[in-house]
Amino acid sequence: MRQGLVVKNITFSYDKNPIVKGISFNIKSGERVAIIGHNGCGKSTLLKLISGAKSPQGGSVQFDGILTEQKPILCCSQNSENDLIMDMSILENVYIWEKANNQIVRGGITSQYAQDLQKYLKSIHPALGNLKSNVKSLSGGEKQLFLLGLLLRREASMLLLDEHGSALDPKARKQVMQKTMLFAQNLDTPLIMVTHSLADLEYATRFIALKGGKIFLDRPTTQPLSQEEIVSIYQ
Amino acid sequence: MQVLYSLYSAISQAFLYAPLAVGVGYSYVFLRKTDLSPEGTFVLGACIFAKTILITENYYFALCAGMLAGALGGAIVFCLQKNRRMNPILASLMLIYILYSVNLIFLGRPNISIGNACIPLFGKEFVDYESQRMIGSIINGIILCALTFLLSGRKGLLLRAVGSNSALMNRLGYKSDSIAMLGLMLSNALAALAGANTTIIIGYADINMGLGNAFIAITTCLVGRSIAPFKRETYWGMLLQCVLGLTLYFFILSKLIFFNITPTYFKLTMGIVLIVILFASKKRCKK
Repeated sequence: MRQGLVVKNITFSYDKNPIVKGISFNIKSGERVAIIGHNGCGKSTLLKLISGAKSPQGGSVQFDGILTEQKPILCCSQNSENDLIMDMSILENVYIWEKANNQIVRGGITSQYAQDLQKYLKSIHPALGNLKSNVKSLSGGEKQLFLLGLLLRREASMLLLDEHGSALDPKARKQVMQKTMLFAQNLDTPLIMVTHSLADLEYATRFIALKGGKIFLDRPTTQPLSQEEIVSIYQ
Repeated sequence: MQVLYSLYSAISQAFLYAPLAVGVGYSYVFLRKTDLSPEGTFVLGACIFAKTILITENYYFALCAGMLAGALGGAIVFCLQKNRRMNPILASLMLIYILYSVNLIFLGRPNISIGNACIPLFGKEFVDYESQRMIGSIINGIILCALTFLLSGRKGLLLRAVGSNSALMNRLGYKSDSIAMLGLMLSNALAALAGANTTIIIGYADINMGLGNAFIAITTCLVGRSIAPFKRETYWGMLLQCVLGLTLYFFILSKLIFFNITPTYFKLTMGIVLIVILFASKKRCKK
């Protein structure tokens, strides 16, 4: 029986300045949760605590009963260049990522493996089909989709997205979001996305609004936000 | 005929120094670490080689001992700069500073002759300067080609990846510190190899023989990269670019000697020529 994500009363401060003040919530597998809030309210810090990139100073984050700080989960950030090796080819990047996760076993990249990979990446974006092309030559949207493709190929316990479409133009952003949701449909894992755009709530089944390091609102997206609530979240 | 001989001489000299330039290239281009320590480990390799060959009279054993000492130097410089404990340039200068004494301790005096020691190859012993230079260059070439072939596979990919994005490598679960240390050990072992083979050819080891070598290595590596028609950062590319840069360097050097440039103006003229080449290639790239 999968327990999903259990966040219990977590706290975190930067230089004695409390950012996350005792947050608790549960997320079941298959749920798509958007985390919203004004700048500096602790959204990205919360995501880092969930992913295990940072350890909470109080409380715990467990996924299926295991502390995430013991088994960190990779996150698709707004700047894909942090998660890719820019002066290497697509194939070389895939190798580095998948070797680390033991997805490439002894014997390395076989022609069958390369063919399957090419087919998979082409289904995400045609530009990713050329495995020998340098990652540097991809556009921002293509890089973001490539990173998403790498994350989805891992046996991801959760899909964590940190404003992963925010650095893109509206067209590329929409494309990235649609592809993300298309691929996320087949995942039996929680999807958590931090976003500044309320339009992204259409992709989520639930939203958590943060304010002053605490949960201000937590409810399904079927109950839309009122104008007053939006004002109080971003005030 | 004169030009052809100068070219042959420059190429063999280039292969003699190629391990040094390639080693510096690995740390500078692939690992993105400014490491000047090959200036010290070049001499360390030469001193350990000279001492070992005098004791064992075995060229290959002495070569391995010299390279091991160089690798150890690389590990020390990595430990000094690990976790930003020390600025990488300061760490490498510190190692050069310390190695000066270490080399003096090993040699017992500022320089030491290795007598009639020679390079044995296929049961033959090459004694004269010209054949030793050629065989030394060939041995360097074989070692570099074998290493490049090895690094062109998966191991080399990890080395490049650590230099490019060590934070990601750590997040993915790789031990990027260990990979970076291996890179610096390799780079300094190659510098020591160049030092050892220089010693066998010139017939002695001197504690001042490394002076300016880090500059020659970095500059020729950059000159090679700027004039080479292939720009992609691969291990074979790096080897060819370094050999190209060194060949040009030694060819110009031989021409300066041919035109009777006095030693006073030697480095000034050479420096100006190198600056012109680097600037011209930058301008060509912009176009």
